[in-house]
Amino acid sequence: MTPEMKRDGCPSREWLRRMADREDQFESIAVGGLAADAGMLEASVSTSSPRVFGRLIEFARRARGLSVENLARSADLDLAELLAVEDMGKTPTPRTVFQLSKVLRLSTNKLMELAGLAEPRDSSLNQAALRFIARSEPTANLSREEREAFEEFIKVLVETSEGLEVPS
Amino acid sequence: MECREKIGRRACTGTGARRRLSFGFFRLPGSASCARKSWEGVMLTKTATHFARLTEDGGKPLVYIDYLEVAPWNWRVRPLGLNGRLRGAGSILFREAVRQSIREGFHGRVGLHALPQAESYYERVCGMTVVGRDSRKQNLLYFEFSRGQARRFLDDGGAT
Repeated sequence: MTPEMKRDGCPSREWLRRMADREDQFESIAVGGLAADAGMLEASVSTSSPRVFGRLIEFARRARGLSVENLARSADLDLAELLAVEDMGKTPTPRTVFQLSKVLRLSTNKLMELAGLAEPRDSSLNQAALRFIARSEPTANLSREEREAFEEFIKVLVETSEGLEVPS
Repeated sequence: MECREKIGRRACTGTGARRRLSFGFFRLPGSASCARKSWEGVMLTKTATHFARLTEDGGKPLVYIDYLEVAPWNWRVRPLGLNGRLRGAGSILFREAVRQSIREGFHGRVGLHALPQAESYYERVCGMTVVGRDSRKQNLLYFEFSRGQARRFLDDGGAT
């Protein structure tokens, strides 16, 4: 028994203040064993998420020397939407993913999975995304290491013959 | 899940409660921190289904936290300028799990699967040991308290 326990099980004010200050620094302290059993966890646990998708699109655009405006024009996308996808991790629409996949020459199906719009079917995609995220930082120019990480990821995302129907 | 039984009592500091909760048809051991007559957070624990994985007390029973969440009105959302009504509600609940472990004779041993955004809290703030990713729990990171770590948490609030 600690001194804390002897005082009717109540934490001291100092303990409470200290822990409240520390807890404030975190977005959440949630525990999810029950949610995991029920399969209720969001895509945040997976590497397939709009944020990863946005990072990939940004890198793919920069690697091709395209500005956001140029890419939006080439892919016939709204500039504001493309900016939101790249910078804010906004979930893209299926049409946006399709258009981007065509312009950037990447697999539509895999991009759909990465954006969280399709059920993941390829576990190697997750692994590649994980390595890509771990090794990349959103900077103005691609460093050698970032370029290597990007190219490695791109190998997994190479254009394949399959395609998805474009939602109207 | 709909909670049918409103519970809660004021502790000496204004928060903290330990009662039995009813969720739907099930009755599970759980805790809720409660202050100013409103819910501030909920936790569900298991005491007979999980065992320590750390070598120090490997195989011995522990309190497994199945669910812990702070009430949305206590969330701190900086972009919206929200500071939350009651600070530290989650830490009080977690502390209750450690105390439950001591009452059960488990010497403070506690295990849990943290959500990704909470991993740093349990590792850096509470000082729990990272056991590893658990593929049976959607790849969540599993943490465990040894008896020594639990004691430090109760005394000082874990790691500094």
